[in-house]
Amino acid sequence: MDCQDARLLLAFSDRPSEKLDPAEIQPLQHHLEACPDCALAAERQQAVRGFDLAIGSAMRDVPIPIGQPAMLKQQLFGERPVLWKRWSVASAAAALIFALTASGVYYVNRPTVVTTNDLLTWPQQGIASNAEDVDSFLEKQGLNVRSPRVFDYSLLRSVEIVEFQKRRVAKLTFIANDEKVSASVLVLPHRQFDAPNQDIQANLSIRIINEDGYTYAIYYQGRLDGLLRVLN
Amino acid sequence: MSWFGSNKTAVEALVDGHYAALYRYAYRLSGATQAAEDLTQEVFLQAQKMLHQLRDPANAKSWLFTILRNAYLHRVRAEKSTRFVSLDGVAEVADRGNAPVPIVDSAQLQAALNQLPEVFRTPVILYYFEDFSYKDIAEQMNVPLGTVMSRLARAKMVLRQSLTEHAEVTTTTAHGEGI
Repeated sequence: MDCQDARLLLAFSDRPSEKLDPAEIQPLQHHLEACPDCALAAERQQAVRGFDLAIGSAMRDVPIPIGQPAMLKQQLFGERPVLWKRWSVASAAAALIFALTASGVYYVNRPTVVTTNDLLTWPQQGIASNAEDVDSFLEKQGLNVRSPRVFDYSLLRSVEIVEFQKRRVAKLTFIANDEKVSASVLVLPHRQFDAPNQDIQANLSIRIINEDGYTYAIYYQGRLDGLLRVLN
Repeated sequence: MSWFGSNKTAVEALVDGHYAALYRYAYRLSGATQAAEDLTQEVFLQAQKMLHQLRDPANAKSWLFTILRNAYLHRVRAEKSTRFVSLDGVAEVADRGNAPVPIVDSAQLQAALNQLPEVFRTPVILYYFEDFSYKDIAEQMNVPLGTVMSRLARAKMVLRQSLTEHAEVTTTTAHGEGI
């Protein structure tokens, strides 16, 4: 081995990435023992090894900016950060749910369109066609009663639940087509009321009917004959 | 499509695997954080476009480092305002191998690197990163192996002198203040 080869191998020998071949180590060792100049070069190289380690450590001491790789990926792929994406999806979902809910609430509560004809014809329209329909309606309102069967239910104009003697009772209003005869009927179950059983004088415009466990108090206007038109 | 599946997956893998090393290299070459960020970004933008050129993923690191150096040189040539110290007399300067090892500060090292011409600075940076062999450095710089070793020897010597002088000045100043 000559000095040129020895100096070359020396240069490689201090590099972790440049491992010497085992076959080269022994000849290099022999050359260093025989050549004072190369031995001195090896000694100097060893002496600056500390320098190299210190410089290498400082060379790699470069802080990496936080978040740069993620931002770079956004730029490369035209994407927003994952966190933003999650928030945007959640926000979009929340906005959609809100919009659907608001639409649903509006739809349910939206104003009903009423025409002039609806208003004009309403008084002539019956609410229920028979007493059984009224009983069913009142049952849904928590009032289990039997409506009077003597009325023409095509003339029924309203069904109300009113308070009488601190109890909830049904009040049915019938109006004849000519508007000259009308009657309001209170339905008083005998299980709740002990109502008078006698007839009332005709000029008081009230009539009491007791039938099938109920007292029907009928307040009427117009002539009794007119009322008869209402009564079947 | 590429060796990772899709181009996106491949580029993501390159960013995840090499961003830090490339940024450090860019910083040591340019000496400024903003320039380092810009250079590193430019590397990956170019890599994304030229991914088909990378046949073997094992060569990815060298490939990316080469792109970065070329991007840096392109910028330096455009600026043409940087002045460097001459290394003509360096070979004659005796290496002070027996001098005590100073504490090397990252900023001091950068100041010393900034004084080196790029052809000396690049090999010395790659050398001290210790991941690259002389052959790797020669291939990246497209110069013969002997040239790399010669430039490295001179650049290392200049760095040692610069950093030792800095340490001596600091020590002398500290002693002077104490008197």
